[in-house]
Amino acid sequence: MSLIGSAASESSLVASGVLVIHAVHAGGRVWLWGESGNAFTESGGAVGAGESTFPHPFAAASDDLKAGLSALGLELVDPITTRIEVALPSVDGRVFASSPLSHVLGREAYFGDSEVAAGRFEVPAIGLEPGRWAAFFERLADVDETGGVLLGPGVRYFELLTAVGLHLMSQQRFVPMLRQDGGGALTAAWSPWMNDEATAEKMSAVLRVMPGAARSGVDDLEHDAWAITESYLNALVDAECRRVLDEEDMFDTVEGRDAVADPQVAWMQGLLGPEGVVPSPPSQRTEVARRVRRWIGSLEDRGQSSDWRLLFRLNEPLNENLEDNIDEPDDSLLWSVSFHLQSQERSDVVVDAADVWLMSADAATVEGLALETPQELMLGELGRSSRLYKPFEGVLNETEPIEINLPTKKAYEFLREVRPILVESGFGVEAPNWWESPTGRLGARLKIDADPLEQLVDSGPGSAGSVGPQLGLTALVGYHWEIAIGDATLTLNEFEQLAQKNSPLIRVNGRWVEVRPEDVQAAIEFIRENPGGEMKLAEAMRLAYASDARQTGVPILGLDASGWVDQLLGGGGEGMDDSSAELVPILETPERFKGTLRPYQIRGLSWLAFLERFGFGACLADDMGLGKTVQLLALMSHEREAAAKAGLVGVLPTLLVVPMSVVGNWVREAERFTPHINVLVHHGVERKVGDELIDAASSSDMVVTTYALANRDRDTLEKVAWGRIVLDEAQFIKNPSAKQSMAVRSLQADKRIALTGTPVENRLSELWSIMDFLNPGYLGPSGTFRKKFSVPIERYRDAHKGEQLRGLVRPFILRRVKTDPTVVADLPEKLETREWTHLTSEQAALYESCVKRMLTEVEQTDGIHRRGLVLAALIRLKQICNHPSQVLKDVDAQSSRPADPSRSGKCTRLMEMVDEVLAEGERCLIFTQFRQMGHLLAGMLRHEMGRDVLFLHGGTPQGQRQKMIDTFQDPDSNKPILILSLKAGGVGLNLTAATHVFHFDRWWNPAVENQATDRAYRIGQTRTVHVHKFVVRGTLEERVDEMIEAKTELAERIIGAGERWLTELDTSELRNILTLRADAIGDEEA
Amino acid sequence: MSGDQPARPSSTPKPPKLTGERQRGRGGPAGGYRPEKKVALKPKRVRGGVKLKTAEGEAIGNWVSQRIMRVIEAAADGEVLREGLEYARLGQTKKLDITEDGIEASVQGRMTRPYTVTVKLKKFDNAGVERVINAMGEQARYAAKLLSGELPRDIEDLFAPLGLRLLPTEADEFEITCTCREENKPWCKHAVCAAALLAERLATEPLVVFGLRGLPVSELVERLRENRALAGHGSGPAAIYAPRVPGASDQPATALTDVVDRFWDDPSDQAPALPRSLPEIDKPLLRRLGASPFEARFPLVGLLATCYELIAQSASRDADHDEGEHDVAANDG
Repeated sequence: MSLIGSAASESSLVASGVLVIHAVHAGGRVWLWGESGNAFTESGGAVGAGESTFPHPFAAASDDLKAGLSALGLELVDPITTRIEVALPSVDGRVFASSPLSHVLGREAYFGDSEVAAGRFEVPAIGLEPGRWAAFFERLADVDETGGVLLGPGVRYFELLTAVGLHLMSQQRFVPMLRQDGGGALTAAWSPWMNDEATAEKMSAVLRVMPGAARSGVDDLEHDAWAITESYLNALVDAECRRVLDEEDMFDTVEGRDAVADPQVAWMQGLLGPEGVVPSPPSQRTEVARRVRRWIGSLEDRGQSSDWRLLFRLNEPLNENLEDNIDEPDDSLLWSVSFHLQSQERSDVVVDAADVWLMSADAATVEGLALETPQELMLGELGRSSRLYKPFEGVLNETEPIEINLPTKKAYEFLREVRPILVESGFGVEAPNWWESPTGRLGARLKIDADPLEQLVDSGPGSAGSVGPQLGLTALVGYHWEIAIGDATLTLNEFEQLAQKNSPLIRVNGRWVEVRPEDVQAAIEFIRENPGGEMKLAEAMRLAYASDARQTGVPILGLDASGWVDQLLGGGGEGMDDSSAELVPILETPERFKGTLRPYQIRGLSWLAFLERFGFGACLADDMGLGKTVQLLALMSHEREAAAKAGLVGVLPTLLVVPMSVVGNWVREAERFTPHINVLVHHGVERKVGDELIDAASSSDMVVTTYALANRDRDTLEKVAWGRIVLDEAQFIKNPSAKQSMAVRSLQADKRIALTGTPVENRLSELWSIMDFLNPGYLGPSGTFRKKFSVPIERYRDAHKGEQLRGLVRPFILRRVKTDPTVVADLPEKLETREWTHLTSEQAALYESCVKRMLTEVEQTDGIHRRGLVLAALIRLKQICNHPSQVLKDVDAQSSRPADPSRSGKCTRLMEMVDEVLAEGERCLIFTQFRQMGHLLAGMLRHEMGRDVLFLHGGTPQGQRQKMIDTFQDPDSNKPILILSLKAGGVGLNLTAATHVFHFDRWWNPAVENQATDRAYRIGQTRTVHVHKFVVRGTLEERVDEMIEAKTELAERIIGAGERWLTELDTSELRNILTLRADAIGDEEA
Repeated sequence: MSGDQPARPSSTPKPPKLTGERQRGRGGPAGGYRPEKKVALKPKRVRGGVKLKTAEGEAIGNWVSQRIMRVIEAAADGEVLREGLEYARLGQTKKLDITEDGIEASVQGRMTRPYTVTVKLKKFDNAGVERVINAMGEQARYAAKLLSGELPRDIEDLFAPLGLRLLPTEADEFEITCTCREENKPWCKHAVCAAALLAERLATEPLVVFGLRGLPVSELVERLRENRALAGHGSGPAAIYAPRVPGASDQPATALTDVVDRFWDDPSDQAPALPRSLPEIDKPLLRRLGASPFEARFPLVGLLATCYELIAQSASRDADHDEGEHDVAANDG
């Protein structure tokens, strides 16, 4: 995560300057404390054990804590500052750094060491009273953590609990409560009520994710997870309820009344008054407490039997000649609520009341289930239910009641109002299946009339190319609204008649439908105000997918389109998958494209061409490894062939903006698949500038440049007439206000494509940036988007808003994942790709000087000595290709600072790719030959990914080895990255949890590499395994790789002999193989 | 009294009135009875009577049942015991009422009319009940088990220091009446039959035994909840009622050292949906609570309703993001 855009924010986070803020709950307050990266020390507190407390060795001073909070925009007025105790994982009084801190420092977090104790440490802390909790924790969602101040898991937990508390308040899930102290004095409180099934489930989920960090406060709750959670919620809800009631001056309603004469007054005075005191005299207290306890306790009542419950079933009227359409059911039409007993364990076992009355009074057996005193149970439960629903009282006078009858309006009330109450009280209620089904709703449906595709295509001479910008999101489309109930469409006239009838349940086409009178009225008004006409497609889509019933007055049920709009929208396909590419015309593989496209890649190509033709920007978001590059190259081939067929002279060039790390890859892939495409690489010191650049760009087919240069050379690039702009790894523009993002958005071209391997639909700021590049303005300004979508979806997990947003963007995003059935069928079990990377100028300088020295030295030696020299130099060159620190030893693998991945082209690319792997929720293996490189990588990955990283090498003890493997294979563990030194990882391990395998450096022996790869690709693996082999362009890595690929005679020797063959080459051969080629270097800043 | 030796020597060996059988077996609780020895004169058949589910030769119910059975086996004469159990298995019991007071059963014998049997236990006095409740308040473990309907095996450890016993161990802790005229009073076969059914029932509803001792389950549960709430946290005020939250409040406590592996895991990603919207139906809890628990005139429920509305509106207002965005199509690019 933290990696993307790191080039832009390098200076923002100096590893050691980091501050991690934690929160604990103790003594009724929340305490914030911090760990300071500056103060970090390995040595820990004083040595000792047991109960004694040590000062925390790298806790932040309270002033630093305050400064950190203000850096996040969280100033606190008059905070309580003191020192508190916290219990933290430690060994012998030496405290571990928290995971967030150790990740930033790139250090290894402790790994399941059984010796770990919860030692006590004293830390400076800032206290928050319950009254300030909601305001404080609610603001955290907007906090930007990139400034070096991080919020730890404890803070996040109390933020989550705050959301729980406010959720319960908005849902009216709280009760008035009484509290009593040891002396019997009463106080009143508002308490959350979490006993109902849905809330209890949520609380159970919340408790499961409670980190130990949130339990580390020291008080009489003794770290108990539930006690802390409940205590926090009780205090939060009480404080927030009181704040609201105080703002509304509710105390005025009871102030001055006689609390002695009426205990209710006393209780309310406590609930509404400032102090909470319930002024009941001691003589009344016991009775008051007893009654309130019974009253509130009745909410927990779930019936007499834990094996059987009373089930109510609402049955439709059974009249023989019931008409298919009834808009005003009269009172002679009777619904029934029938009574049954239902097994709690097996809900399919139901006994009708009539059968219950026939049973033995004492006990019966139904389908093997014992049913004790069935009649008593039935009557007792009916009695209980009658307290919740008065009409049931009547049946208690009958000797053997089996049902009650209700007229339509009462039946509606039973369904809407009574049913949820009964269910919550432990009764079963079965509603007819049409109730609350989405097809049974009343609402408005937008109809869009667009011409069929064929008509458009035939209309112009350039039909094979672009239909042009007259379409796209600003195209005007004809529309009108229809009112629908379920799947039946009604005319306005029919509708107005319905409104007169005022019946909440009506029968349409033989089905009962719920119609709320207020909906009918609103729908009529809506149709009157929106007679239809023409509007922009973007507007229509926003109306259909993202309007709010509160604004339109009626639910908008969606959109029906015809013609090309229907094809664009994928005909109601399911999500951002292949289905949106199903309806577009399928193209052939372009003739000059060298290679075979898999079927899903053909669909991707066709979809891209289709969207471009209609003037839409398109985002291809396939999983890494599915071949986004070839799909784009195929599109370029197709574009040229189609233009040629149509007799068009030229096609404007495409500007491809990519991260530095993949420039080489693009060039290689273009050479391989589309050699006829004329590629200009615009980067490096010797890149063209000014008019020269404009000329060269205009006469090429594709210009490849980097995000940094797109910004730096923006003025010149703007002058080129581009046909298309493509962003690769488009998540690079996720920060909309970053210069690079603004630069690429400012470049003009009719066609826009974004490629990304991350699940964009889940990363909302990224999604907005990419969509705004593709289809400017479509999702509105970023601030509005944030308010309307990001906050509700990310903070409140608002599923409805999520649906709306998906509806809006779905036509423009094609995302296939490897597990899609349509894709999986096309994929081999093992997919192998080369990743061509580059050297940074630091690496290049080291590389060249190493080659030079070696060549001079070998001139003067021979025999074993010479061989030794070559071998040593060779290993050194490989290390330089990996990372400069591997030869310079300027980063201590065990030290507190990780190496900087941007010093190595390979590392930069690896970080990007691992980030994608993690974003896909997958796991990966990374093989290296060098143990030291493994340490460097582990440090970098911890820092960049913010995750624990496993590293298994020759020196790992057997016990820990197995533990690591088990952890990696455990689907619940949070450790998705495993680094292996090739030797250690060669034999016997089963690591099928991985779906990506990286060969970070090369053994140059396919057999050895395959053996390693087979750790993941072996029996038990059910998914496609992607193998990524890293090759640095222009270096000996590429040369050797080419030789192996070409299967030359030399290659045979290479494979057989490891690296020894190189030592036998003569000096000129050596020079040939080792000398750096010009295209090797690629620095962002070059 | 020794529990493993179920029967003491019969003081007056009965002549084999009905079957002319020989002396009964004396092995396990039930294993020694001989199934081949049938009752010659059978009792009147009963349709749909309450039957003992345990087959002959099997131990009845669970450990609670077996403690009761031991007393019965020791008290009743061997032949009577066998016949009583046979009655219970045959379903001679036409009616069985288990109330908090005791059990009343209607057992059909060989005569036309069934006999009425009552079986009760000696009740604790009021002071005893108070002592029991207080002791439970101090030992939260018992309360937790009992609230979930379970009787802990070591329950007597709680009663013994109070000089009380929950489950009977002596025959004289039972108070038995029967309308029959048999000579084996009070442990006639009808009493054995009814008591065995009680023992079996206690396996599934063990808390009934509290009722038999004078502390009805409903009161017990309420007193326990009250105690538990008061016992809450130290000496400060505690809620008078602590509702259970299934799946959360009943989870076993873990030590901090047990979660060292996940000590610093970020909880944010796995949070459940927590929308800030008003409930589907208005004030569900207040509706379920119904009328005020007090008789006086003050409109408690009405005032609470207003509070519920104000609080819910305020909490949901923060989430009302669309304020001021009336035109959905306003931001056209």
